[in-house]
Amino acid sequence: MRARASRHSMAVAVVPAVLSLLVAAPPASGQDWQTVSASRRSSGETELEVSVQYGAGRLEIGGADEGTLYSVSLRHDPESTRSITEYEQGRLRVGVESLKSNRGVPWKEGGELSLALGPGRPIDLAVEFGAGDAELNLGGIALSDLTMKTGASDARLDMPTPNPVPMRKASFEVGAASFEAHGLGNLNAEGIDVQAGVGSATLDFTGEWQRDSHVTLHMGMGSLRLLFPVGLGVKVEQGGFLASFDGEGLVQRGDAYYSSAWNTSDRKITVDIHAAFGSTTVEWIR
Amino acid sequence: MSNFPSDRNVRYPLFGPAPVGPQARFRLGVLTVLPLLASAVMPHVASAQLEPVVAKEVVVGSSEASLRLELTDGELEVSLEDGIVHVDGSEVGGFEVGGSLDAAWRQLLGSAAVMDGTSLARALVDWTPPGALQGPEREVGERIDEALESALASSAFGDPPQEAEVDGELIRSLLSRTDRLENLGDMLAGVDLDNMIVRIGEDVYVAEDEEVNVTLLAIDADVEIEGTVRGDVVVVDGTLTLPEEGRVTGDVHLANSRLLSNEGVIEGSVSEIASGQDEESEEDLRDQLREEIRTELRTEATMDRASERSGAWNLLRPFRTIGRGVAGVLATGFNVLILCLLGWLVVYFAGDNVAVVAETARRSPGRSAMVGLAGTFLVFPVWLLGTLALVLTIVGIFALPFWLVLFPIAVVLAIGLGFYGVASGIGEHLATWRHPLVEWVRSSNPFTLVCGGLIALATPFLLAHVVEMGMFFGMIEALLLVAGWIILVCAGLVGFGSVLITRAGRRPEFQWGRGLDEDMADWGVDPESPSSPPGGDDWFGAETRPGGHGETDPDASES
Repeated sequence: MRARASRHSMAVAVVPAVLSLLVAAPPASGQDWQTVSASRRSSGETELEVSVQYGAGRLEIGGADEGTLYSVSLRHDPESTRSITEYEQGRLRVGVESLKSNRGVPWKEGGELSLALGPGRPIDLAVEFGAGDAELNLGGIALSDLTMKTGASDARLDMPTPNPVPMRKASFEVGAASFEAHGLGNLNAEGIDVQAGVGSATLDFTGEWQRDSHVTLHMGMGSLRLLFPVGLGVKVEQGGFLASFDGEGLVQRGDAYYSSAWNTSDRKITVDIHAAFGSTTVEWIR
Repeated sequence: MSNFPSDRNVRYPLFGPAPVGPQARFRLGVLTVLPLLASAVMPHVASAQLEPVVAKEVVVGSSEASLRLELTDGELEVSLEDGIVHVDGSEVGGFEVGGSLDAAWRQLLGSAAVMDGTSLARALVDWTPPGALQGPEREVGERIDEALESALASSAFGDPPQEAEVDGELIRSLLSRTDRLENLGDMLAGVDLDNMIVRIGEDVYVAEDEEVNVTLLAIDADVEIEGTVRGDVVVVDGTLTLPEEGRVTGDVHLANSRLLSNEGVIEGSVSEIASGQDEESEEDLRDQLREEIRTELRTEATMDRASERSGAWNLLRPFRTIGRGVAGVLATGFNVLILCLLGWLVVYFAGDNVAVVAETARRSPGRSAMVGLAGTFLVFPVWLLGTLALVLTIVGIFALPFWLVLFPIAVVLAIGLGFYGVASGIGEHLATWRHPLVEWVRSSNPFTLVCGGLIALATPFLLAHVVEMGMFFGMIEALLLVAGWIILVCAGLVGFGSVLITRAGRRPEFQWGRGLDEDMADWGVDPESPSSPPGGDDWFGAETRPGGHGETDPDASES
């Protein structure tokens, strides 16, 4: 997992460098990509509201160094989309939007968006991502709220270090996609809400749990894999239409399933699973 | 522009400040190099207070290359777009797309894209238009240069230094990098130090028609030689550009530097030395990666052990899914067996009803499903209304307990009868298939029809459990399960609808979707005969069936 995080941080560092090379390249005939690089130094901002809207391509979100408020590197097709890097009074809006005049293919393969957010202030992060690959390594970022909506995409979220500020809610809406979230225990979230349409979702609840939490999982059709750290108090309430549930390591009492550490653990999380079709499996990580 | 110390136009630095004299001989090692560097730095780096860059935006595309800066007390926007240069929204001239000004500007933006703060300001201030520019395009380049410098270094121009100041930051930077200085000492061994020019933090440009007889040392600076340097060139933390017309008669030493456009002539040798710091960084990175791999392997091993400890069944973890799949197959098979036994009872006691329901379901499954769906939605309201009606008609209260209990039972029996009817209908299809696997399904034996149909309905579940035995087919398993349940629900709806249509299989004449030939046969008409149908002009009008039950044939209007 650490190696993965390292690779991600390297990627976040490399992408802007590669983009800078693209920036420096002289214009070639037929080339219609536009690269945008924007950054802002921090100047006493106490909080930051970040909205990312990205249709298709590769999306990376990670941390930045201490003096940076944000840093964005974006590659897009200017004939069909318009880049957005707007900042005003603690609100940052980043991404691309389709041009109204565009009548062709709205999104072109090869686009990239890399966003780095600096530490030191609570950030309300909202990500809307259409199709493509998304990697979010949110270690070191103080997140007060997190919302992520993806369409048909492969998305991975890593939270390798504990969130220094309490998070009200982490909300994930995943369409027809593959979604992996690791280190959810580090989110320091009061509630975690996952709504998955069709596809597979892996939710890794390892990390440093600082509070009890309530997790709600809505699964349309597909497979749901839940990874819990051994020793965490877990209660699973499972309901569904045509869904199977493999609650390994859980004991059924009444309508709910409990982990063996439920009565003794300092931290307890309650998981409500509402799955229409598909399978849910539980695994434990020491 | 011209009064700025690092300006490249004045930066014909080789003839600027006095070169370091022969007395300043270098010795290997830091102690010798430092004083020389300090003495070299002092006269040249009269500092300008750079305006900090608060925010920047660099946009580069095929037709646009623009820079927007937000400073503490203002903004600056320079764009080169479609052959026109704008500074803060005002047109200042034109440029050749793909020309040298365009290329130099894009190169600057390439650097600016990955820079921030003071380093960005310094890079922008240090930029100068290419020396090869001529005419109006040169003026445009100078306008851009002036705009950058006036925005970022205005205070320096406003208050020309009264005396030379030492750039403390640069000195501190140099002192903190003693490893570079050590390398520098190694590199300068054998270099002619008697006639040396040292430049730190200032780019060096030797024009095409220029020929200099010096050893050139540039630290934290880029060197571009279009003319001739008769001596050695040493570059630390910078780039050396040597176009076709450039020439170096001595050796070139590059410390943490790159040689760009090596199209010129280097008569001596080229040596590259990586800095100790970078080596250390690479070593650190390797150690870090090594440690991460170890950690990950440990984590994997721990996970495996934890998984093994969580239960004896997990000792066979690779086979657990196989076991689960086998168990699923057996469970499904057992369920089918039970249903088949029940089916035998149903066929025994209500074989005719099952046959009628099966025929209806087989002939018009769509309509049956619609009726079944409607019936499903109406079951509860009917039950409720019936209850209310019995309550309201005082006499009916006596029948209320029977209604409350028997109606749901009747519904369940109807669904069950319908389900077996559909199974029988599917069995009929299997009987006509004549495949060796289903040879035992015969139309003459209703029980085999029902069993064949039940097994066919259970097939998706059986396949799902078989797929489950593989470890990586969770999605296919889920899809098969979903398909199986959808088929079951549809079978239930079709069966229920067929039961409703045929009044629980007691009224075969209500089979919707009967063939026209069969209807005609019922009416005593030879379908091959061209004569008119009996009792009317049109077979397709609303017609009372001959010998029927006084009911209107739904097929008539439907046909």
